[in-house]
This record gives sequence, structure tokens and C-alpha cells, in this order.
Amino acid sequence: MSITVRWVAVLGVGISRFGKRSEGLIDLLSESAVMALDDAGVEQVDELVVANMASGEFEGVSGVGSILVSRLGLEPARAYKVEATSGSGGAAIYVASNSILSGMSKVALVVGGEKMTTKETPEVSEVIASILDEDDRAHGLTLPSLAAFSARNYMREFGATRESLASIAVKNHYNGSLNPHAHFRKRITIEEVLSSPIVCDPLRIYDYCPISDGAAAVILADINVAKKYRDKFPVIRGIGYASDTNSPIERDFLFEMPAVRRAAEMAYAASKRGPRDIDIVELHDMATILEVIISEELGLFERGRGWKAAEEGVTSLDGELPINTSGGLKAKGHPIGATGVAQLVEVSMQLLGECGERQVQDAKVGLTCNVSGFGAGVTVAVVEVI
Amino acid sequence: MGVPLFICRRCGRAYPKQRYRCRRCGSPEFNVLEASHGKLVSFTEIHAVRVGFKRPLRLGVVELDNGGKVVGILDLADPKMGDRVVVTRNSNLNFIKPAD
Repeated sequence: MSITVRWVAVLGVGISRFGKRSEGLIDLLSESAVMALDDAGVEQVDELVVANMASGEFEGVSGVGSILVSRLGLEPARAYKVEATSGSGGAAIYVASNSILSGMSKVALVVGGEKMTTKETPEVSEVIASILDEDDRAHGLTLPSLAAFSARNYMREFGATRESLASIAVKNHYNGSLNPHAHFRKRITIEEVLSSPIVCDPLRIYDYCPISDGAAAVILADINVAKKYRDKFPVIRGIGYASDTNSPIERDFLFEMPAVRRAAEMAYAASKRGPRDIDIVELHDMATILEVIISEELGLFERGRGWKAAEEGVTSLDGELPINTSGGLKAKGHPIGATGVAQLVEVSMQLLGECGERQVQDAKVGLTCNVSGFGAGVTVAVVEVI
Repeated sequence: MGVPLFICRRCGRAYPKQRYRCRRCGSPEFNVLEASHGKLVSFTEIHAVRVGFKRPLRLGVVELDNGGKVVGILDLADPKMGDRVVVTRNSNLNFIKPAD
């Protein structure tokens, strides 16, 4: 019997090690793409959507979709790149999901990646800051400095401690230590976080994600096609996308991300699930404070309460609501275009029980939240195994 | 001189950045108002600066009395949250100084 629900199957996943890699972008993307194709057991796709921010700036390469479709021998699949800075992965999944739901594609390969270590930190910062408002940028604003504004404001408003933010870094490094694909495999302590060099006061180097190379891929498919390949697979039950100002200081509060709220409402409504149904979460912890703010905007914790969650162990691997089991952007790494796709890879693997040492028991419903800029564009997806 | 604020002619919402349309009501028409006084709502000292900036770079966010928030270079010895401040604009940059 054919299913008429508006769900999209995750038929296969692929991810390789994040970190400083010797390969270039095309090889990184190809590696994960081939893994996902093999995992799904499909030989051809209708569509290839590449998620990537700055292939031009980092490696002088454009036309990544065309290059990749040839390299992978997937012609005549429709191939192109979707770019929404750090949110490119989520945006690419959103685009491919809609292709499948519209019936235009039956099977789509979404592969996201970034090659970043070709540049020094100040230059990387320059590339990433290009999403920001021109006048804000002229003052030297960076994405990390927006997180600092937000952290100082949040800490004052809700009494959050520096230690509580540090405990998020400690948790995510612990999770990363159990993930063979993570950039950082080293466990850290609160003392190490609090004595690490200041990046943007009051946040320190261990509050931020590193600069990484890497790629991740998923095969998305029409549910009735997927059923021919497998009996059991994860589905995206609902997905939402929303945008907000690219000048985040304009917001009523520096600790809010309205687009997360809006995208989550869309994903919850489409999936007929709510925050209380969620068992595991992969969210966009570019800085520790963002794990707090995003978890609150997703409705997982009340406003002003999210900071206690990591400290009390609620969001640990063995807690009630594990967040960033992969290590998150913080420890797994944040090769920009790869991130949104890698989140879906992790949640899918968790729901299928394929996460080895970092496996969460009895996880039924997962959520991903990928953010561009500082909340300029957000994808939220609710994922479940059927 | 203070910083320009773009006030929607139809609904009165204030924007520190020029826009083609008002986000709230869609109107394309704005009046420009010069604003200077406000309250410091956050600040940071950036040690990992972008290309071309000297470290440490001290920036603040000011909530203007006329509405809207702007970023500026901190010209305050000992900034505290909630400080009353004045924002001046010079060579397309905002500077945050103590209010008299």
C-alpha cells in the first residue's frame, strides 16, 4: 500500500573525519557522497544538491555541483550548490526534501562540505563575517563577537554562570571523544575552559568551534521508493526554514533567535510532534552560549533555564535529553557547508542504533537545528525511524 | 554628530540600518532622524580580530533612546552594563562615549 504522508526517507548516510585534512573540497565531498551512495545501495540519483559556503574564497573553485556530478559519474542528475553560509547544509536538505515531496525527484544526494584550513584564522573570520550587515562589519564585528554580546547579556539577565557555559564545552568534548569522525577527541575540564585564551570576552577559545575541513552526505528518497530498498529507515517527518535579520544586534533581545522559534514551529506542526517528544538533538553550537539560546528557542527549555541543563547533566549522553551526541560543532568541528548535513547523519545513526560508544538508548525522535550567520536563516527537522 | 535612524513613515518602527521596505508594515518610506543618547546593553573585547583590525578591539551595543540598537567602538574606560552613553558617528564609524 502506498503511503501518502509528507515524509522524506533518509536512505543512506556518509561521513568522514572532520579536522585538518590533506584533501581538497571535491575529494572530501566525493568521499562522503560515495559512502552515502553505498550505504543506501542506490546507483543513480535524480538530483545532487551540494551544500557549501565558500569554495570560491577558500580554493578558487566554483561550479561545485557540476564538478561533483561528473566526478561521481551521476550525470544527467540535476546538480547545483545551495549556499546559506553556516546554514547551507540545512538549506540543501530543505531544497532536496521539497524536490522529493513535489515528486520532481525520487532520489536525491545531498552532500555538504567545506575546505577551510587553506586560510589563517583572521582570513577565515573575514570570509565568515561576509554574511553580516556592511555597517556592522565596518566596525570589526565577527560572528564570535556576536556570541560574546549575547553571552554577556544572557548571563546578566538570567544569572547564568561562566561555569555553566564551560560545562557545555566539557560535555561536547566528551561526546566528541567517542566519535571517530570528530575533530577534537580530547576530553577537557571546566578549569581548562576557564583558563583558555580569551577570544571575545567573556568567551574563551574552548567556548568556540574550531576551523575544520570535512564533508557529510545523505541520500534522501521518496518513502515508497525507499521501501523497495529497506524495511526500516529514518524519515524527516517535518522540516521548517525561516529567516531573520542579518544584523542580529537589531533584535529586541541579544539572546534571542526568532528564526529558530519560527522554523521549529513549522517542523513541529508538519511532524505532529512537539518539544516534549524529542529524545535527541543536534544543534548549532558555534559557541557554547548558542547551545543554550537555541535549545530555549526550540522550546526544549524555558527561556532563561537552558544554561542549567548541561550543568545538571540533563543534556549529557546519559541525561534525559542528550544534545549534540556527535560532539556538536564544538568538538566534532564545523566545516561550514557540512554541518547541517552532518547533523542529519548523526541523528539518523542514533535512531538506527549505529553510534557505538556514544549510542543513546531508546531514542525514537530526533531533531536537527542548523543556523546560518547569527540566526539569519534556520532549518529545523524532526526525524523518526519507521 | 549622532547616528542616523530610519523611522518608518507609516508605522514608526526605527531601524539603525537603511532598508528598502519596513519589516513590520512593508512601507518603503522612511524619515531620517539623528540619535545619540542611549544605554549600553552589551560589550566585548575581541582578541581574535579580522584582517585589518588591531587587537584588542573593544565594541559595544547601545540601545538608543529613540529606538533601535547600534554597534560602536567603545571609548569608555570601565564599561558596565546599563551605562548611559552617547554615540557619535565619525568617518562612517560609531563611537560610544560616556554621557555627560
